[in-house]
Amino acid sequence: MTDTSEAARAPAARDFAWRSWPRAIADLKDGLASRALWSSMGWQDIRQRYRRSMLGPFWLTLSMGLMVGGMGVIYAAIFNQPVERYMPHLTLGLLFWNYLTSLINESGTTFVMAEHVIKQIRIPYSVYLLRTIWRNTLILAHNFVVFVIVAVVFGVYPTWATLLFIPAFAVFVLTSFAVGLVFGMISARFRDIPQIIASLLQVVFFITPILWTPDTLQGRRAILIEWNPFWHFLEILRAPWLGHAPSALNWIVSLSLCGLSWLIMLVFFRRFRSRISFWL
Amino acid sequence: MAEIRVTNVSLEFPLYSGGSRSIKKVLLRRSSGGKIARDAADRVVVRALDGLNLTLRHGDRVGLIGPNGAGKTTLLRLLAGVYEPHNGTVELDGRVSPLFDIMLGIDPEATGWENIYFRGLFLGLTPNEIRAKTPEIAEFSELGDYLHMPVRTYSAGMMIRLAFAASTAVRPDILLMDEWIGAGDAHFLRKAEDRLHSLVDAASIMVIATHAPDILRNLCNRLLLVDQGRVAMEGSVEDVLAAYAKYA
Repeated sequence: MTDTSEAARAPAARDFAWRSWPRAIADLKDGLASRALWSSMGWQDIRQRYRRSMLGPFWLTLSMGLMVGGMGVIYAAIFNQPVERYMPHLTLGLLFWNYLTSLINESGTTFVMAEHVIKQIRIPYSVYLLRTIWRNTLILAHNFVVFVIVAVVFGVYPTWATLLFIPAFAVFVLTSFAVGLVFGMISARFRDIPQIIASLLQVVFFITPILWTPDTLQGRRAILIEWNPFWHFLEILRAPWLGHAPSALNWIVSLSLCGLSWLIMLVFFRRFRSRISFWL
Repeated sequence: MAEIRVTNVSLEFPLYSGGSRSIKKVLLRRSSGGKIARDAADRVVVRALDGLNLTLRHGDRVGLIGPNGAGKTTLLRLLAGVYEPHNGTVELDGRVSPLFDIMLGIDPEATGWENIYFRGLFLGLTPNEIRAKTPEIAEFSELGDYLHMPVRTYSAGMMIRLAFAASTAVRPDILLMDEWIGAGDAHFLRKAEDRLHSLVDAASIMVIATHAPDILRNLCNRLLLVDQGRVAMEGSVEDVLAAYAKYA
């Protein structure tokens, strides 16, 4: 039966509660408060993947170690760089790049993969994203062992600047949360988006100083680095471990993008939060 | 004293999957109790609920019947808070607990204990509340030392016992069920029935969607016939069952 009469087309009197600020804010607050829920969901994801395997999540560490070991030696030669300087740079770059890309990619499937749960019970939507972030943070922690080994081998020791990693990590996670929530919502509605983003990120990998160091790009081309937002985030995470403070520009760009992403996220989340279950 | 007030709620599910025009033509032949319509932006939408009104008060034991696609499950999900209406309002007083899928969140690789904990989190309990309830859940499931084993090693019946025991550990004010849950062998079935009945008795409001007349007669004091996203008829169990028999 079709209903195409004027009455059916006319916008009905609307109750705006579904797009209210209090509900959006409550979702974020309750989500954060459900720490037991998202942390055990995140753990469970990892354990499901590695249950009954001998090394468990350390398989990731091992493969990361092999990758760094192999690439480090070869690329140091290709780029004509001293190994002791190149290796720590590459290791941290790959560690954080993996963290960043899997956060973005998995944010896209956060709601879609949880469809079964979302349609059964009401849990704050932010819980699903916090689970994704937690899971990837645990994986990062496992992978970080590789850097510790590299640091010991090549004598890269923590300095006072290393403490800057704490605020840097906070800025990064906050930004990931906002970006991930928006991306998760868009991806629930438009299922092609995760594929598009995944292929774009592959390109970004090569234009971001991970395999190569920024100082190899001289003159006007250096702009390619400065205008790359991923580089600034990577730098605030990486520099503290290499013993120097990230530049003021790195901080300014990262903090501004963090603020901007939260603004966009709040607007989006208020408007589309209650649509998520309809899109699944 | 729980209360539910649903006022003039419409829920529309947009059909986004490509070729909506032709899909519309296919779907236009009325094959279910739902409504296919177009919204203001001329998108094809399935109108699962259409201006539905409903007031439930303390002591109501409500059964939902109606043809497939009439909106019974959608209505339950609306009450569970899964869908927020864009037209109309839903007011709920009381703690709602949907008991739709007792296997929700069961991880076959995790042990019985871990699954009890996990299910408790889904029910909205804090870790301390779960710890307090765990012995009772374990005892009811009668799984004993099996609780230390991964659930994947359980037989189907054992798995249901665990899931049932864990998901019925909380007594909600408003209990929502999509079909009655039958669990396990004859012995456990009786135990499960008792527990479920006590859950229903303890609830201030109970809503169940089912086609089984025995269960409706047994549990409900009020029946709603749902069709095309509206409450088509409301009344005593026998009256509505009789009307539905003619209707279908």
